[in-house]
Amino acid sequence: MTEPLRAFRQRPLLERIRAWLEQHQDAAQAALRRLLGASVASQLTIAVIGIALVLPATLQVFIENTRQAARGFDAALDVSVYLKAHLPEIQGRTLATRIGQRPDVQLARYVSPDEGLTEFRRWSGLGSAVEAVGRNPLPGAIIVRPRSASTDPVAIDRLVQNLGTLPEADQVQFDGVWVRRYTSLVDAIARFAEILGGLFAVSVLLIVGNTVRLDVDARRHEIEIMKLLGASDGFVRRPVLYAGLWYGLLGGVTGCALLELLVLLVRGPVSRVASAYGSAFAVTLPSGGLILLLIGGGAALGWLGAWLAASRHLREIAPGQDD
Amino acid sequence: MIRFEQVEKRYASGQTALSDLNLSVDVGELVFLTGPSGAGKSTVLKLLGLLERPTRGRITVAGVELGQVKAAGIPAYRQRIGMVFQDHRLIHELSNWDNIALPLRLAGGLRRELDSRVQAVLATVGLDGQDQKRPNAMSAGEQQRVGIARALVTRPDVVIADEPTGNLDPNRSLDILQLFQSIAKSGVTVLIASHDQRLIEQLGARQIRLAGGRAVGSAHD
Repeated sequence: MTEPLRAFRQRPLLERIRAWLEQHQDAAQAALRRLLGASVASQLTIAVIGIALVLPATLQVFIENTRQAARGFDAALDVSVYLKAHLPEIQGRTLATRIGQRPDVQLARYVSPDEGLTEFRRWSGLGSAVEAVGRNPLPGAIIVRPRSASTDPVAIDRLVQNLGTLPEADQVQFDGVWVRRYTSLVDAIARFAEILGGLFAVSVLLIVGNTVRLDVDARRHEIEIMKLLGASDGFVRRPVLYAGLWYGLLGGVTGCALLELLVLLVRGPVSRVASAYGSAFAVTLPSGGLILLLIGGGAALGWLGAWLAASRHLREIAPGQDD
Repeated sequence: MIRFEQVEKRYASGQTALSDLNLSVDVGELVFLTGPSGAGKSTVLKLLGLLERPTRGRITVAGVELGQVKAAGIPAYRQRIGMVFQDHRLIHELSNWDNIALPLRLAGGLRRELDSRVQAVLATVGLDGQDQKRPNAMSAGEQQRVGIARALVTRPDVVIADEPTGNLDPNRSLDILQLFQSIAKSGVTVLIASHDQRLIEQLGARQIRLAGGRAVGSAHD
């Protein structure tokens, strides 16, 4: 073995690791320089990756916001247990305490006939009609808030059924069916977003893979020379993988910028619609987790796309000599 | 240092490029492979660079029996020999410095170790101070010197060259061959495929004549 090669191979492990890290650093820098200095085609590729990532991400932001809006519907998920007429208040309060101790109940509040009447007058605007009746026609009631209201419709149905079997209960009413429909719809959209996310992830793999293949073809001469001089498949593959990683990472950053812009554009109009319905709801910006997912996921997809496309392609490039 | 024993090379097309070839080159010797086109010169070099495998026979280079080198070991083997090509095979997007440093980087050299070796080998080939130029800003002769510097930078035991003066005028060709002669004098074994009989005779180096894939003569002119 030649003197320099012997010196390189027999040096301490830390020095060898340092040489390996330097090779990675050089490959990463060279790939970035090539990408930034390249034609408009590279920048278009980054833009396309950004758009491919921003579409499912926009749906995700929409879902996060609708779920947040649904948190304000908790009161609509309450179950009302109307007690039998003339049931003494003390029994009603005891029953409310007992119901409140159930594991599937978050809280249970007793509403006396007088309190019920006051609320009815306030909300219905029919106070004068009640005055005409001359007596309070309302029974006592218990307002029950289920623990897993917004997530588990089956649990609510079971609770409603159980409450209906209580001897003190006259009627049990659950008005949250529309909320359940709403959350089911959001869940369906979330599933759709996941599928769309998967499809767009595949499209990013294909975009990066194709770009990297063209890159490899354009650099075929250089790769042949490297192999002639003793480059391993790993050494030749390294800048290609970094190119894929940069494409994905910069595509992810572009996607984040587009997403922020989109949210900022719709924020004002949505707030105006919400305030017209008396709601203080405002669209929230993408979460830190989503931004990290976009950038990290983009980089990972870029790396994987490059690996899938380039590994076999690079192995097929064999150095030759003219005879 | 280089030994071919009854080497036969038959390509998939059925063409026999070498048959029963025996040759031997000693340490520090400069030897020319000569012969007409199709004689098998380039095939010999391809076998030495492990770009091809022989159909039969045994090849030994610097103590390595090439038949024992597995596919995964080819890069490490190629790092041990220097190769020079007629068309230089330089990477034009890189500076001369980067081109010459490439074999050292492939072998795992640290950045701080590269510059002194690159500058030393540039001085050897007479290109001091040309390290930051790009190959395509240089003449064909200078590009060939860069190619030779790249082949020498790892201080290989063996340098093989395929028609290294093929693209050069006679004066520059002689310069390049004299450079190879001085490299051989430093103890490196040099095997050059060439058809430039006049220049070879001027140098007075040993030549192995090939014809139809066989060695038909060995002469010391």
